[in-house]
Amino acid sequence: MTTKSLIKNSSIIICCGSGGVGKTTLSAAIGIAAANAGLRVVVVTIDPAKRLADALGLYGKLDNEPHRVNSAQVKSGELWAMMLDSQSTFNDVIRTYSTDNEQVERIMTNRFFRNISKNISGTQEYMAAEKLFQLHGDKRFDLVVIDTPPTRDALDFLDAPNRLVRFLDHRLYRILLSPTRGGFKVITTAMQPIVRAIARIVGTQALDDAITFFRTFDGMEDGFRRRASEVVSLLRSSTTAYVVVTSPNIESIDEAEFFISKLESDGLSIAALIINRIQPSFETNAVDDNLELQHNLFELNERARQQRTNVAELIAHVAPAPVAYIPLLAYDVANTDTLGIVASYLVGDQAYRIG
Amino acid sequence: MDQLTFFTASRIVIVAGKGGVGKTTISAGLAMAAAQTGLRVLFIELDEKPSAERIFNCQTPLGYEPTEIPLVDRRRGTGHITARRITAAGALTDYLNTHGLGRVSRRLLRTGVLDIVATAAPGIDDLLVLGKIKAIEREGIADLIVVDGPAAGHAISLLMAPRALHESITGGPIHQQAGEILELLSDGARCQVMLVTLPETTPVNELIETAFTLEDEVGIQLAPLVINGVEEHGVLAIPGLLDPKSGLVQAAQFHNSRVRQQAYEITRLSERLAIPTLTVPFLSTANCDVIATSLIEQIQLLP
Repeated sequence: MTTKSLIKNSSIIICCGSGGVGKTTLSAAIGIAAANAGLRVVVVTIDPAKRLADALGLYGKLDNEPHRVNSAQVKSGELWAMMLDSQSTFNDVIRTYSTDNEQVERIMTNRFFRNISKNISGTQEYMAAEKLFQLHGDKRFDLVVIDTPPTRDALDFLDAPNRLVRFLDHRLYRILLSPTRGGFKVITTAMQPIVRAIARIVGTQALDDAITFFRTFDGMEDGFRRRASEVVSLLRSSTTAYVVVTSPNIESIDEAEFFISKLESDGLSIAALIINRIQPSFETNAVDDNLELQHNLFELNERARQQRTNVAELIAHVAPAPVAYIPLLAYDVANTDTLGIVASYLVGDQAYRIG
Repeated sequence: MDQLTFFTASRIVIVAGKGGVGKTTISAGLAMAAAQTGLRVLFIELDEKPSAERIFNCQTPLGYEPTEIPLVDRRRGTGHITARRITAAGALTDYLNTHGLGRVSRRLLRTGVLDIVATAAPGIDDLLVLGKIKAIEREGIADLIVVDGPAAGHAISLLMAPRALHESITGGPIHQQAGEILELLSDGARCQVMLVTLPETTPVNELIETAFTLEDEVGIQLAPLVINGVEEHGVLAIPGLLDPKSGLVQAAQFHNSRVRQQAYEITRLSERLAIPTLTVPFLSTANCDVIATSLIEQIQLLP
């Protein structure tokens, strides 16, 4: 298996890794490589710094819909790209499963819903998974490439659909929804100690908001539950490939190791490892005695050697998964031309001396 | 600037930055530098990953309870570092225990209720963590508290949580707690945020955005910025006689183009943000003693 055949044989590629390793850049580069392999591919980016989105021609098109990218770098196939907007994806989900417009209205204006659909951890992951599901079913595309949100735990993404189901299944939820005669306040004070404890922590108002939300939500949970289990089986499908991106520094290698072992303990395996921004090494057959330049050459080669030592164990761990090396480039990757160069390193069209 | 003045400007320093910029290394270096200045330092780790242990060369994982960090070089008498990892779950148990709810707390954690509570009142886990930090500050056991903030954009949501909760929950213990934390965050003598970046486009962009958000929406005071990973040697002169294909010339060209790119980003940052900066050189391996030394040098250069 090579990264090239991996791209051809997958229907979903999920880029994982810690923040700052270049997940978004690599997702876009995979998109270019896939299009050039003749595929119709859509890249979903959640890049908060919109520069790369701009580079892909998404400037001003942050409407949660795929847009066709026209670039000289895309020689065949089709490249599409979109920016994920969690809030509008969540609103769409609510519209899909609600029974009537009034229910939509009540949910959208609920404070608890507005809270959970905004900055709460897990929502962005869940919405990314939801969008992935929609795009996977979209006949316009052969391949969906997505970069996972930069969370403390990259597996949140895998867990996100289940999180809501667990929430719905939780005993507490049933306690909150159990019929009452005296209104919400009565539940929070008269029910089990666990509810009282929660009320004591979050205050009765937050709990009331939550209860109102769940009451409004009533009737929708079956749809949610079904969709969540469909999303989970899609995430576990054999044509869904997990590509781990890391930089060659110890901190991000640690995180990559952690993530890979979590994937494994979850019965999933890594499809490819991408080592991004690795220091290239240089020939040492110099004939000059310029000390300053000699020192620089030595220093850069020493960094290159150190980084190769850093990644050796990780590479052994992921075998036989293919490993792609993207060299640290002397320029910034911020447009489709430079992304095209990254893409050519990725699929091995451009030789890179690992040294 | 005198280093003691620098390290006592505020009781809490929260170190924040995009993933991969070396936030934990800089936090550890900062703690080390303050300890070498003679201060009692508490290092607080919020992330689950064990990078702080590696940097401090700490054999056992940091837990909720403080651990003493052995210092290789104690230059001034009473200076020392204790370190601990504060998680929302730990802070909640702690809170419940001190409020006579110890038995309930074990049940809450076992049944995963924290998850539910966190969803019922989003930001509550952030509030628990900040609340614990506030309580530690009040105890006055440390001269300086260095917080290795959460990764990536989560630093912003962590620091914005108190305002959101204060506004959405209009009464009760959370409202009160959020109000007290807001007070802490807006008092520059008690708490400041130190932003860390690499001299590269995306991290610099993100730092600029974060700086404005923190100042405008949280009202938090920013400490000097840290630019990490700066190449020590400037542009190299390449004699025209050398073979342009030789490794020597290729390496020099590579270096020069990186140095120019870094210089461009550093200038751009200084034009956008009028905040003093400390630069830390590129290091192949994270070493907090070396970082402490270069931070102290840089601090002395500050006006």
